[in-house]
Amino acid sequence: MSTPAVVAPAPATPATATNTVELTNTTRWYGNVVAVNDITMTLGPGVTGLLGPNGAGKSTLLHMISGFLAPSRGTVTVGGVAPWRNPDIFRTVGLVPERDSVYAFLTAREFVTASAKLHRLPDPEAATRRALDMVELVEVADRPIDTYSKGLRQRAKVAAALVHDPAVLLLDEPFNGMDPRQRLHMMDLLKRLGGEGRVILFSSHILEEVERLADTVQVVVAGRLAASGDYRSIRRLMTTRPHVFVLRTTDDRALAKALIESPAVQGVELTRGGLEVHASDHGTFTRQLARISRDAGVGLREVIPADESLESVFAYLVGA
Amino acid sequence: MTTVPTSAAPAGVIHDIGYKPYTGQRYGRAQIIRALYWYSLRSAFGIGRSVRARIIPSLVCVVMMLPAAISIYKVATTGGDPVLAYDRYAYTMFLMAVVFIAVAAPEMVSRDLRHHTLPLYFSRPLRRFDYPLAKLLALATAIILLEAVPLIVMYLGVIASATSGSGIWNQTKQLAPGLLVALAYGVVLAPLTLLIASTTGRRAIATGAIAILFLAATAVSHAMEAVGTHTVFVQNGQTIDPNATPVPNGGPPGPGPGPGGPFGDGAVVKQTYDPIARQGGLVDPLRLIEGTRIWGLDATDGQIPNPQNLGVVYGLELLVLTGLTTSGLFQRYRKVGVA
Amino acid sequence: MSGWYNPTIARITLRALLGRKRALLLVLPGVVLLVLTLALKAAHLTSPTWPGEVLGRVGFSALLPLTALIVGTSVLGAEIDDNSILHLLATPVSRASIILTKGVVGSAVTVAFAAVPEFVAGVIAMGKVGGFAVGLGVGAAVGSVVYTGVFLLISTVTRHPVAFSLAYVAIWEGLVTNLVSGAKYFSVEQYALGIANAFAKDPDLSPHLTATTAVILAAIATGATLTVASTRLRSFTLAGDA
Repeated sequence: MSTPAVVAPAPATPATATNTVELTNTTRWYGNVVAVNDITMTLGPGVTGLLGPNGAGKSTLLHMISGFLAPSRGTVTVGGVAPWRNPDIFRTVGLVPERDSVYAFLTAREFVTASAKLHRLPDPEAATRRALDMVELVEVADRPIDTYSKGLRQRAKVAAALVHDPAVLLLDEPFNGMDPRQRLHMMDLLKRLGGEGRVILFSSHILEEVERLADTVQVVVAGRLAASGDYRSIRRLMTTRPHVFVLRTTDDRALAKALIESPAVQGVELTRGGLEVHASDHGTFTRQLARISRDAGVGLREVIPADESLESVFAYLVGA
Repeated sequence: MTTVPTSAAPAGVIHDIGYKPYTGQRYGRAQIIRALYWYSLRSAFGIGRSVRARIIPSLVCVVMMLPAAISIYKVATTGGDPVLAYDRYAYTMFLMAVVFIAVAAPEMVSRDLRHHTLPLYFSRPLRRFDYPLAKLLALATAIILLEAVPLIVMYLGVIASATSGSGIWNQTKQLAPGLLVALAYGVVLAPLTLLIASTTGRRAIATGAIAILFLAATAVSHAMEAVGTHTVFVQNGQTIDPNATPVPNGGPPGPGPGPGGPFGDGAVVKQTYDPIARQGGLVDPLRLIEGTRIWGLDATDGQIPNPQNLGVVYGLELLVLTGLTTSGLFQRYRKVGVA
Repeated sequence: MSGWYNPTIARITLRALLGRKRALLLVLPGVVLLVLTLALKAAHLTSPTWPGEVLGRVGFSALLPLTALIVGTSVLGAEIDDNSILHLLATPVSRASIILTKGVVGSAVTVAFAAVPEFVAGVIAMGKVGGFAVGLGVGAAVGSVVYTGVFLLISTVTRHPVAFSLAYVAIWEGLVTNLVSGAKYFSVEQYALGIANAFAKDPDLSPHLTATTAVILAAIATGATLTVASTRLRSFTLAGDA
């Protein structure tokens, strides 16, 4: 069963031409294995989460956008130019790779300063200080990186990628190895940067991370783009699968009898946790629910949409 | 076993879905060692790995076979003996052995160190010394194969064009010492190089260290041989040294070599060796084997100066080296960490 | 501006090179050569051929390529191996600049650990700073530069540069150039010997190339290897994990 590609309404702020990331029919194969299959998407300002199970092609996409991999077919452009064999894009792009790509014998300060100098910044020390401040690495900045924990190492990588104030920031599984506090802090940072108009793309296979942080979600499954946009809108657009609500009422059975008469309701189930309603038409059902329950004389205590989470969207997309 | 919930409140239930532990026959230690040995042997030649891993072993094997191929052709067309004698084969082609071992030894042990897979090995029914034993046997076998197969191929090819039984017997007599040398290469070089490779997980460093060991040792012993060698011309029973430096007295240069010049009639070139030349082989594992061969088999076609009375020292040192490196290798794997 | 020599990269490369186990391996060949030379000098040998033999042929066919191998494969190969090259490549620095800078650092370190010991050994052997010692030093220095270029190129082509470089030194320089006479035009060892002989004029070095030929070929080889290495580095590919 094929999953339809659904696109949410366009974001409010239009992307500037200088730093939009555009993929058009991008395909990449290795011999017989297709890693990325005909993906077309545009990334604008704000935080975009690239979500997908392991092996879906997220890293491949990020490597193509950062110029470390050439697409087999289709085009990838960053600010209008192709990144392959073009190190100049790194003037406006910052990359945080997944692999451990730090010089372990340098201190974080030296590492970020080196990055600043390689970007030919006019004041490397000031830029380093600012970057280290942003990731909260200042206290430990003068210890060699190979004494760091994984989370600190990730932060050092992010600092080095931020030092030149990039308009586009690409992060490959950035929250790997971070403890909850570090993760929250990194999310705040990325949200703030996205709010400043930068294009931030991060990949993850952990739903909660993407749910929390991303303004837009790109769901990649087995190399194909399964869904794009705000995940709530995606859910609403998936009309083939009914929405599930759990209602806690004063009289479940009576309400069930009344609800099943409505054409917007596909099924009701009496469960231990409440009345489970499968509604094929989300809009109509939500409008009718109050009137039906009042007419049936049943009091509504709780109305919980049971599967609006990204998890259910994801499970649906992956399962299909 | 199914436990029936006894109360109305939701209780945990364990369902019997028919899981049965494996109670059949299990292979023992010998099988594990054999599997590890076989896997390591194949990986030394790049079999069972990606194409890239096969490039260097294949290249080395091809080059090793060249003298054999040329010999077979030559004997088939013009008869006689192979171009490269069986017992000199290994030493002449020593560079190939060095390259092969420098790549194969790290392939066997450094990879496991780099990816921290040793705890996986040792949490199986594998005794602590089984691992280095299997690796040692595998590398020794690989080296022996590398050295012996060209000899056997050459032998078979040559006797195919033999005309008489004595010809075949002749070849067989020559083959035997060659195979002995091949055996020695495997037995002596495997523990030495495995020990070096097992000190680091980075294959580049291990390969470099092994290469340096052999090439530096060869350079030193070659130098020692070179300076200890005196080429003299014997003419009419009189020894003339063409390398005599004139005495720097400021006076007129001394009289030249005798009448007729050093290349006159009846001149014969002889090479004499200082003790330093004979000792040269002691610092180089490859020359050690060669020297022991000359002494032990009373060979006349040695490629290094005949050790003569030092031959015993060569043999002893060979034994001691093999013993020390083997025990060193086993000791190395006594304590294995997780990280 | 693409820039040429990049001091930041140079500093990091130098620190990475000299701060590890590899540094121990670097020192060994030179030490061996010096110890050997001292020992032979102390033995008061009569034959005057030994300096040319030992320092020239043995030094140039073993010490020089080995040291150059350890250095040349480390300056780029080590960073590719542990992925720290990504940090460098994710900047607008031109790939040619990266290769050139690493080439300079690699050559300089090889000169320090191979050419200088050759020169010093030459002085010890001859008892004076003469054409022989200078020739050894200069020849080894030029050999260092060309070898570094070759090994840098090998580092951009494969993930196991040490193994392939060793195979190159053993099979090409060690075997083929001795058997096939045309190969001498493509042999770094021969370039080095040819240039050394221009100063030393010592037949025991047995060079097969004249000095001018050697210089020209060495320059071409250096340029070619560095150019191809830069091109390959621009196409550096990260295979995706997922």
